[in-house]
Amino acid sequence: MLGFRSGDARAFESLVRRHRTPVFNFIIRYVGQKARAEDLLQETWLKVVRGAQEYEPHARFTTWVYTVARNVCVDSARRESYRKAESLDGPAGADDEGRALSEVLPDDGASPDRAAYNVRLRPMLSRALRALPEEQREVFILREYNGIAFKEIAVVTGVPENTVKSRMRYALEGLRKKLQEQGVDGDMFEEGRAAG
Amino acid sequence: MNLAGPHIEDKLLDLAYGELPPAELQAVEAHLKGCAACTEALDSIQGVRRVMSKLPVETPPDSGLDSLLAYAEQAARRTAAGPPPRAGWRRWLVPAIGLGSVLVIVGLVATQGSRTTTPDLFQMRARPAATPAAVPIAATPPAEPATAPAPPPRPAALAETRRADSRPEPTDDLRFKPKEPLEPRKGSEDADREGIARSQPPAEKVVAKEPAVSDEALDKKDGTARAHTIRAETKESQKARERNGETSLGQTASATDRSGGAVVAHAGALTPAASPVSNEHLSGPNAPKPVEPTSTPAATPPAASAPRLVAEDATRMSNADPAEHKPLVATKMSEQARPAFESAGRQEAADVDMPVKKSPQSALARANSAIAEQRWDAAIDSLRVAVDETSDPTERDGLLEKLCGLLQEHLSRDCDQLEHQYATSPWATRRASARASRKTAIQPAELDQADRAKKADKAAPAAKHVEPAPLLMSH
Repeated sequence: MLGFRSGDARAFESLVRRHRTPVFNFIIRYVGQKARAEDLLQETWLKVVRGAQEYEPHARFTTWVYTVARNVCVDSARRESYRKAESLDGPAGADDEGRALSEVLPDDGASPDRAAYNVRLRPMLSRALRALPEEQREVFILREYNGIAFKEIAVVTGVPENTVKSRMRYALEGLRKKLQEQGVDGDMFEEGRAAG
Repeated sequence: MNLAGPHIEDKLLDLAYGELPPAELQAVEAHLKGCAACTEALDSIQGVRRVMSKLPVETPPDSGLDSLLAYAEQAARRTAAGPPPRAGWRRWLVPAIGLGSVLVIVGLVATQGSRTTTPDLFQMRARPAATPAAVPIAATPPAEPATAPAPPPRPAALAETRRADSRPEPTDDLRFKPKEPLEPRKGSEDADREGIARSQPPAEKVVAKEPAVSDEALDKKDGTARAHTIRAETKESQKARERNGETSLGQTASATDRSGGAVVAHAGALTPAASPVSNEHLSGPNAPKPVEPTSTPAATPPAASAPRLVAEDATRMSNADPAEHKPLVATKMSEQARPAFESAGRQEAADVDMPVKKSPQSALARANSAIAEQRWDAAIDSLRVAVDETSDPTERDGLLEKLCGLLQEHLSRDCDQLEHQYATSPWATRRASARASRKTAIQPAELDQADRAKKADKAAPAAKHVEPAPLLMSH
């Protein structure tokens, strides 16, 4: 980032290629809509370009870029709160021909049995994740999928680390209950554990 | 570290996500071996993590990547090139605008300040011109030449002028209530007065107060030149009063009632070629000089025709175009109001609008207040007002006694002029008889010829003491 700030465009390209996918996954799991996530991803990186002169290297670039992405998501969520919220069960968009987001997520290329299992499991996981409160969901996503340490999540979200851990515990407990409600326990858990 | 209690749950999260410090790792693992609850909690965390990890990783589309990189490259080029140089005039544009704004604000504040300092009289004075429809249509041509013969000031008006001049308290002197005479009046004078009041309420209000302001101002600032003018007027007033025998309080009150129009006429005589009011009159080297009362002698009225003149003036005032009078009064104010408000402060200007009941009681109260503060001049002046205003001969007698005492005790002045001025009062009669008896008692034995001559001079007829004003104007 310091290289880009000094005028090196290739440094920025390197940053984008390294962090674009994780940031996109954070956004899409935060907002739950692919098309909207793509727009927010572009907006996030544009903000990174515009804010490069304000970047100070006292924090990791990862922390900074996730802070930008989170703020973009929060602003978008506020804007969307005035509209009719679309759930993961609802239509994902015109391009997806009315299918739910969890159904259009790409498969990981496993066996047909595993694929069938995933087709059954993913909607449940998406619903469970979507059911979490926003502050718990963002902590869980950042820690679980993006590998951000609790201390850095505290910086990104602007709350103390203990609060982050507390939210994480609530998120895990909420997910467990939600998955149990959907029957994602017992065999499916064992199956998932075995598959993992 | 105590890992046996419930605090171990705090460490389970760190342990599950690999953030537990190595120093604590062994202790936590040891605790888990002996604690089934913590082991179960850890399994629950790990089970949820395993299930949720089945959500696949999304790959972002490349559609916006090229445009993003192009935008970043452009930004990097701009950054490498440095900030674009601004044109020279642009560099100074913002400071210049800021400075200009500050100057404008300062100018507005200064203007506002001067307006605040300027008495409300100016605003009131502008009313007739601003709302001509509210004023009766002028029966006389509006462009009446300013050099036209000024209407002669009435003795009553001059008496009012003298009285106003003698008052030390400007806040009270500025107040005038023409619709409340001290004594009820009947007949044509009432009709005249009411005609003035009906036709020109704002103008009457303003005009009636302005001379008081100016006189007060001149008393405090440039009182010398103005004092001569007022003294001359006072002489005339005194003469007129003597000729008319106008010593009763009722007549004085009538004069007070009519003084609105009378003072306007007087102002017109003083400033025949005045220009409309503007703030320029208040400051600056080009401010018009105070008009010397060169035309005042022409304003001396035949005393016998004073009542008729008053009626004529009232009629003329009720029919006159306010624009005709406005410049005259305005110039009088512009030259005199400034020192008044510089010296007496803004409160006077605020007080101008307030109607005040003029009564001997209030004058007496002011006198008592001045005595308490040992402001003898003010006390004497207020007492004189009280003497003039009171209708009770007994009360007037007492007031004259008190006034004389103050003059002798605190100003080391005799009361001969006072005695002469109120020669018809019982007090003056008693004093004269007492002096005569005392003179008779001591003259043969103790006074030589020179002393007798001196005493005789002091007891000379009133014709030698035509200037009662010194008592009034001495301060």
